[in-house]
Amino acid sequence: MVKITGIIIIITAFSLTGFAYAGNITGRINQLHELKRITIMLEGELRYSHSTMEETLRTIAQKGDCFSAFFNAVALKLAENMGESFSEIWRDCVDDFFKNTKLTDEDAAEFKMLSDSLGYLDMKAQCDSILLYRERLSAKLEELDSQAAGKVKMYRSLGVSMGILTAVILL
Amino acid sequence: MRLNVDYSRLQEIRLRSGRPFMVKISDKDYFVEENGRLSESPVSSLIINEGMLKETLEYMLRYSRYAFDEEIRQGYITLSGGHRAGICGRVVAEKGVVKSIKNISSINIRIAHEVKGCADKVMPYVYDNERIRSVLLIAPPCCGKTTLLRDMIRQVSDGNAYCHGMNAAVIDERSELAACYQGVWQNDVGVRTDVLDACPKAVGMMMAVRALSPAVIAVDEIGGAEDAEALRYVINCGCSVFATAHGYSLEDIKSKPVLSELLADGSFERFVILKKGREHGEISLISDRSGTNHLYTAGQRGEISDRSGTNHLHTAGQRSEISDRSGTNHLLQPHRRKIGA
Repeated sequence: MVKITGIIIIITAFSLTGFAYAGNITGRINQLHELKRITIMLEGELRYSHSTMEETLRTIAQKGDCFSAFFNAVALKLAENMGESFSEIWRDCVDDFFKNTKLTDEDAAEFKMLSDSLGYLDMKAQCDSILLYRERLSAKLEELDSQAAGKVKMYRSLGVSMGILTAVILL
Repeated sequence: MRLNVDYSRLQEIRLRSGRPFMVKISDKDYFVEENGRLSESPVSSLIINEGMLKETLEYMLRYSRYAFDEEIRQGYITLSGGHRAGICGRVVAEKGVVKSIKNISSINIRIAHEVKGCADKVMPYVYDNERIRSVLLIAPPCCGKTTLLRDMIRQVSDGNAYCHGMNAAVIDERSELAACYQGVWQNDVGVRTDVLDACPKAVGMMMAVRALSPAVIAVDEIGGAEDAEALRYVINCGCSVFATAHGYSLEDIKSKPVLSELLADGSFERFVILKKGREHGEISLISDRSGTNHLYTAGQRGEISDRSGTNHLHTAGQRSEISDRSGTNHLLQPHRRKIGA
């Protein structure tokens, strides 16, 4: 009985690990899609309402998604106006909030780069830099989407297989 | 550093690159020292450098230069609270059109003041029974035109001793009158007032008359041909207009192409000429549509006379009604009860 229980626990643990890895892949893809949607909103908000960056980010935060806390934090720091540059504020907030997401360091670094061209120069420059970031994001998503199905299947199968293999070895 | 000043008397803050930090308080210039104290001598004053100007500008632009493109092109930025910052520097122009201003060399911040009650002297001349007359406020810069206009619209909207409250619309192209910040008015423009914030005057007047059914529309600093056209349209629709214009006298206004046409066609029924004085919006003269019939002249101890100048319609301290030639049209009823809020 103890042996059977042990085997079940081992197989379940390995399977869950496999499913967790697969979940990270789908989670990252979903969050990158969310970021892409936000860039469309950001561009639209800037183009349509000509609001300041603080107002724009607050509006986006109100739409309610997993990045609401990030945009609220940036807007709050912008309102405080403590002498930091826009890029510094944005980068600090990315460091604080992105560790709780499924996005990778590479995704965070690219998102940080977006801040270098936001907040100054004219409207066209704002929209162009958002567009450039969105194009990069689209290319990355295309690549990830094409690989995702295979990788998800592989991690899940690998988890279950490793569990069975470990159980067999231990028996 | 915090300035040791009475902010209610502060009129201007001047920052010029390589020059002393200056403020204007009650029409007098002071130099600001590093500890924030004021001095009449520039010897120990804080010298403004390029970095300070850049930082000040960034602070005012709120990390959103693109949002102030149009204002920068016109040489100013409206700040929260309705204060206006004029900026100078190297103008970037293309085919004669200003695209931007770079290398900022000076910033002049004009402090907006809300003075409730400063329009009290004007209000008796604004009403024609329950109808509001169109009024043009004329004054050179820094004489309190906008402050007076703001209080006039507040009094019309809230109601006062002369009439009950009426719907009013403010076309606040430069966000100075109501000073909207994120959709919330910073200045009191009355309970029955609708504000079209940052809206071009001509377009705003048309929008207001079509959609808001105001009894009066307030616009600051008219002067363009399109403003005049919209103003005539509004008046023809039966709506009155309170407007301001830069000028020293009616003669000065008559020398300006667009404004002279408005004077000639009788669009305005009252002209209020302001002068620089101890108070905001100090009135020099109020005249009727003709411009020659002075209803109020500063220094005449409150006397109001008719065209002949000998027939005094009102004398200070005289507790009676003021009426026009017909005797039925009451210009001033000091003890008329306030109707409505």
